[in-house]
Amino acid sequence: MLLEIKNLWVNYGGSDILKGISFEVEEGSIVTYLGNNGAGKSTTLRAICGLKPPASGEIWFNGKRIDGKLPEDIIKLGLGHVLEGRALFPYMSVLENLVVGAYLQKNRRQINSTLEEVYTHFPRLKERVSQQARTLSGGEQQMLAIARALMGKPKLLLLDEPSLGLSPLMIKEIGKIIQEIQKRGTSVLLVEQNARLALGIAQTGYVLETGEIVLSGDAKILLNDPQVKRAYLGI
Amino acid sequence: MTRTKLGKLMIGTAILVFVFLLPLIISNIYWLHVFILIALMILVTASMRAIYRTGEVSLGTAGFMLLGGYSAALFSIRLGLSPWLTMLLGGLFTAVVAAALAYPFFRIKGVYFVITTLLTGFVFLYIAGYLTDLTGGWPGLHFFDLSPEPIKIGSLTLDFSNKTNIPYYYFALIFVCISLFILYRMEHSRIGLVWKSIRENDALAKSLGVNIMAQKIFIFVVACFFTGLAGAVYAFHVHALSPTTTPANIFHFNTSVYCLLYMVVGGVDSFYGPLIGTALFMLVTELTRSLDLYRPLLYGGILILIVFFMPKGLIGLRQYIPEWRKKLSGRSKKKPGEKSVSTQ
Amino acid sequence: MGVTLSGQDVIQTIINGLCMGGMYILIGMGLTIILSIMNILQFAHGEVYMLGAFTVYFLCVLHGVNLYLAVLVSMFTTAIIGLLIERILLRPLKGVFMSYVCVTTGLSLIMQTAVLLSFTKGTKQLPSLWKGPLDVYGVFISKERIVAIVIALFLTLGLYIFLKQTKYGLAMTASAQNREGALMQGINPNVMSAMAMAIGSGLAAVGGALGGSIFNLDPYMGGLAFLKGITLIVIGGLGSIPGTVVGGLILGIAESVLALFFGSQMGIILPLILVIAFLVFRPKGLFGHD
Repeated sequence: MLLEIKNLWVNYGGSDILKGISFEVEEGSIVTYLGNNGAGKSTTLRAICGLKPPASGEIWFNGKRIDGKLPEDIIKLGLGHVLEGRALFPYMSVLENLVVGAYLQKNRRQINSTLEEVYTHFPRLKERVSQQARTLSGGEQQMLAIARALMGKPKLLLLDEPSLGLSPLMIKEIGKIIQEIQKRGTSVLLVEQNARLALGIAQTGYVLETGEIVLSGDAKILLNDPQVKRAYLGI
Repeated sequence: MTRTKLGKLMIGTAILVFVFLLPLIISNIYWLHVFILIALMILVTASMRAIYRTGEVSLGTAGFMLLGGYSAALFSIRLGLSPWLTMLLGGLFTAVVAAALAYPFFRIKGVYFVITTLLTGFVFLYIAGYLTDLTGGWPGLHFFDLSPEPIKIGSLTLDFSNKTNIPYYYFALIFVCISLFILYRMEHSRIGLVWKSIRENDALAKSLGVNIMAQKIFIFVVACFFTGLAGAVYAFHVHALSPTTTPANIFHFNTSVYCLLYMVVGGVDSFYGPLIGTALFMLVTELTRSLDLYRPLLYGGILILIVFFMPKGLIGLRQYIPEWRKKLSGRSKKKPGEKSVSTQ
Repeated sequence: MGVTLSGQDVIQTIINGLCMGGMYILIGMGLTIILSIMNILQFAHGEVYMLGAFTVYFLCVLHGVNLYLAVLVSMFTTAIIGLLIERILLRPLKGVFMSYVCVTTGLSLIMQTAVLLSFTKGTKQLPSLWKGPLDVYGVFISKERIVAIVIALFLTLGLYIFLKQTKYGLAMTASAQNREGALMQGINPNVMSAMAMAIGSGLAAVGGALGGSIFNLDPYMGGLAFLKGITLIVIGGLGSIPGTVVGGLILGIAESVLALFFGSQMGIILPLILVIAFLVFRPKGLFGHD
């Protein structure tokens, strides 16, 4: 099991945002984590990557326990995180953003080959190599954020609402890209509000509501679940 | 809790009585001068703390004292008004200037606000230095024959020309006590509200109809009012004002840093913190005049040590003893500075 | 006014302006890097500048070390002191605002007094970088100011290359632009802070050496230097090295030109006015990032 969350409690300013959640991500799969605003989805990702230490509970990544560790140490273990809002380096070029993504990589040649790999996923970025990140369109920025995370050759990629603010066409493209990423051997934990996209490409799904997991199971089954349909698919 | 309150009341009363009877014990003119200064600086530090409790750090203290002092002196000198009146005018003038500056200043965030207040202090010094016709320029102002007029109480004539410093001491004392009382009341109403809402969440407070910015500005203006008043009372005590930018000048930036020191050492969480901090340090300064050369070094060092080891200041002394005991014997996982200087 | 200017005056004024601008840039770059990466305004940065100058004084004037060598050594030792300050005094504070205001102000007092007590009284000066004037088609230019300009230019370019071309430099730039984004690439924020303090302090030390050579030294020279640094940050905009450079040039030349008409006091009044004006009306500065 690549990622295991056991009874995680996370607290912000006196109130419990996550109340004892447990789930897991199997190696090689795409797992999606659904829920409305304020449910605690981003908080979960932040807890996993070390930006917010949990109040209690355990987080295991690749056989190592990582809860309470510092972000730089956790990322080193093979985690990638595309933050909510993308967190690009606005005044740096596309290329510079990508190079920083490869910060932990040592081998120059390997970095270059990873860069080429990334360009095949995202040919549009190659065209805009020297443009400043803040001048890119929403879709391009999202692609850059994902590409940057991929430069670190992560075993597990945490994606926080990649579809936010994107056109339906772009959303489809992102979905395809995520599947390509999975094919190349990176597991994905996809946090989304867009349940249709997420359940369409994931193997497993979890539904989070006010800090607790209320539904879980095979993504295709969840897609047809009446509760899910009503709440998240607008049916 | 009533017992602690009673205890506090008793200590407070004892201190008040002691302070009022002080001139009977120590009538040395120099020491009374020191006590007057201590009283004034206590008020200034308490004002600085009031601003701090609204979430901003102002290092312009010295500058506002200068405003109050100069305006009071100039009102008397140029317009021939009575110092009793002009001291009040000095305070009001400072408040008006503070109000005018507050609106643009408070839009500036965080550390830049600190810089702005710091620079404002310098600007006032330079204005005082350059407007020679108005302020007497760099040599400063001297007005040794100008004092608040004597007050007759029955057959007793109180002379405030600082020949003995005793009447002036009582004047300063009463003035400071009243001002502190006003600040104290503000602490428990407005300031407390602002402090709480900043801690909790600006947005939440706004939704409750509390206009934080207006409160902050109000408190800032009041604090500057008292600071200016203190400057004015100071002016008519020493009868000389100077805009020179040497550390020796009370209106120099170093004074603001010292007030910061007094405040932090005393303890920012309690209203009485600045009182203790100021009194303690100024007394120690007087008693260790031979160390004057090393003083900035020592006080700078103390400021740093306090942040690391006693962030709650002297007021919170009781809370540190168990923690220090833990550190000395066992292994405490707490890192220095983890307790922020401003908790609660 | 009625000041008649010769070509000599004009050239000299510009050279002076560039020279002062260069010195300010050395101070300002450090301050802006530290502020944008650590979110700390290092109130003792002016004293670091002063320390750099006095280190050169100690080595060169008191112990006969070659001036240029002394400046180089001072740059490194001051950089190390910057590292120590970060590690020992700043890192444990965990970014609490009031704490570091107190610590850095306290530190500035300590440094001022320590230097005051360690050296004899009276104004001192470092030997000239290159004595004498340069005769360019009948116009006399001060050689030492040219040297200062060259040194400042060299270091500025060096820093720029570092930030744009090296792994750590890019990481620092990234940390300044988006702290969390940088964390997510595995960048260690403590390493970034340490580098920021080291580089910033080293640059300030060279600035101090230049100031001590062209003008003079005293333990309180840091206050004014700090003011200039702040002026650059506010004018140029936080986080922007080009902004700092432009701000420095503007300040340097403006001071130099205004000094012709209003005297040297402009050196204090102008920055004060500029800072307050910019903070009130254009807080982002000319090229502001964050």
